[in-house]
Amino acid sequence: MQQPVSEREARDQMIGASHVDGVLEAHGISMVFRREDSSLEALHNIDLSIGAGEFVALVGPSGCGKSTLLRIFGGLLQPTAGTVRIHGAPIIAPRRDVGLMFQKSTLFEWRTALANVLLPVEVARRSKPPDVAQAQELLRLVHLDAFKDHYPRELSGGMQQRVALARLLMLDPEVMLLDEPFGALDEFTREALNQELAAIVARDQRTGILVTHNVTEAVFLADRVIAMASGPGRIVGDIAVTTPRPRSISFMQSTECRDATVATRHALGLQ
Amino acid sequence: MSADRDVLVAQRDLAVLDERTLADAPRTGRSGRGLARVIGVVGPPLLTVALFIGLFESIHRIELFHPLLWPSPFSVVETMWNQAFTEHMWANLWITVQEALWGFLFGSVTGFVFGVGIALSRRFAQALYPYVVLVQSMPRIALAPVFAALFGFGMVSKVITAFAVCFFPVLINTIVGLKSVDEDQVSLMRSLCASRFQVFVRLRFPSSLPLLFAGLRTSMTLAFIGAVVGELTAGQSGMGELIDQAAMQVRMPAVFGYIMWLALTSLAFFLLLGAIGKRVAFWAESGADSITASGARPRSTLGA
Repeated sequence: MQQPVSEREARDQMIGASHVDGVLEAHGISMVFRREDSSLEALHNIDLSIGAGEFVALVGPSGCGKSTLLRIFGGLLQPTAGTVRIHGAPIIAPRRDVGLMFQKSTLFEWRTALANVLLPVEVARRSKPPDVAQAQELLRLVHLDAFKDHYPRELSGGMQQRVALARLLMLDPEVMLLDEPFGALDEFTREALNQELAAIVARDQRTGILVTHNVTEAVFLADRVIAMASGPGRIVGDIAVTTPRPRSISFMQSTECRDATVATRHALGLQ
Repeated sequence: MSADRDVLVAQRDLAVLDERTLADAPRTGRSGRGLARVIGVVGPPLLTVALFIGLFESIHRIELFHPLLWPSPFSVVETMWNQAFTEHMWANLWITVQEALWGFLFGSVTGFVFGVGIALSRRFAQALYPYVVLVQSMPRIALAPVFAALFGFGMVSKVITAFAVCFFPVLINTIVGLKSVDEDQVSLMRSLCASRFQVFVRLRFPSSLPLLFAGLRTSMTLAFIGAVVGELTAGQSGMGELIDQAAMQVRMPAVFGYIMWLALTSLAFFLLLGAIGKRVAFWAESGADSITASGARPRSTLGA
């Protein structure tokens, strides 16, 4: 008697999923958006492999398809061509071990900070007392334990993104996909939150992709900076930054930081 | 869909205009303290009432119309006072209130259910939406004689007239409310592997509440209009019937008095619903804001 094989397993076998290089792999990804009378090639033949615990920044101008690529990794979009895999398994739908964070906090206005952090476990239908304790612990991690009963409109933009970060961590995702999470915040708040994010990511050794249009931020936070260009969206540079994370502010003055910044700017065609 | 926006724009003024004009008007009376401040706040609306009464009284005095047809506002107030002590008026007002509230209840429940169907199912929307727009642009109040012929002279025909007029604001606002949900919030729910049902219960429905309540408030006012028109058309009882009788006998102060009582009753329910809406959809600044916010939200998933 043969065991019944699930659809996903069957597909994995079909495309030879046993061959695993990194946690996340993209092979030959192209994405074409069709409108009524025109089509736009947002991504063209992207290959990218991200190892376990690696934190990668996608940096590039608006319209280079970096958010699209992130959404494809998140299973929210299906590419026109190519495959994305996590641990060798094709990503055909969103997964709970891959968490997403957006530029807008996307907090639910009718939920308190704590209730927002609990949303993922409610959707996963396993809200139990330990989850509440964990949510409170996560709010403490982002320094908002005093604000757990506040509604989003009572919180500043930076605080809202902290809540969103706590919510992201609620399901303990192996992979974090961050779409310009602090892009709408002022520079001071953004830097403070970047530091905290770096500490959290490094502590748990999570695999992550950060989309940003800020080269300094990319170099400061990432193990690898992937430079992208538009028309169509493609990878034009892959710059390694080897200094261990989390990095202190003195890293900004190091030769490696300056070299990586110059290399990234060069790849992006900036002066 | 721009069509639902058009319909929404066409009918939103009823419930929302009052708040918007209040919100947009330059605030006076902020400065100053004590008595001056109270006068600053209460003064402008009182002045409006005074001017209004003055205008009515002047028309009465200069006999622009026959004094019997255009009573003095003071005699209207006096009549209202007397009406308040007649059981007759309260009994009839109660009938109108029941008709309006039943019509409102059926109308808003049906409007909500159909709105959910149209917003969530493409098939359902394709089948129904053209007719929704068609019927929306039709003066449904004109159906009152038809309903009277079909359902008789009792309360049923008035409930159905009220139902017919207050069904649409709830329908349209439900559709627009459910559709104007933030796309990133939908993406978030999808990234959490939420089912369509979970996206509806935990996101779409709650985020539609401010617009839903704006629709409910519009419907509440319309329900009273529907009930009274029903009574005027085929009256046996109710405030419409009292107004009709008084007008036939040219008792104009009584006519205006009944209208004022009716207006106050309708306003009370409107305000009650507004208060409930403020509690339930507490995060929305006001109905006006939620509509402006949803009006400027075309999004695309293109680009980075």
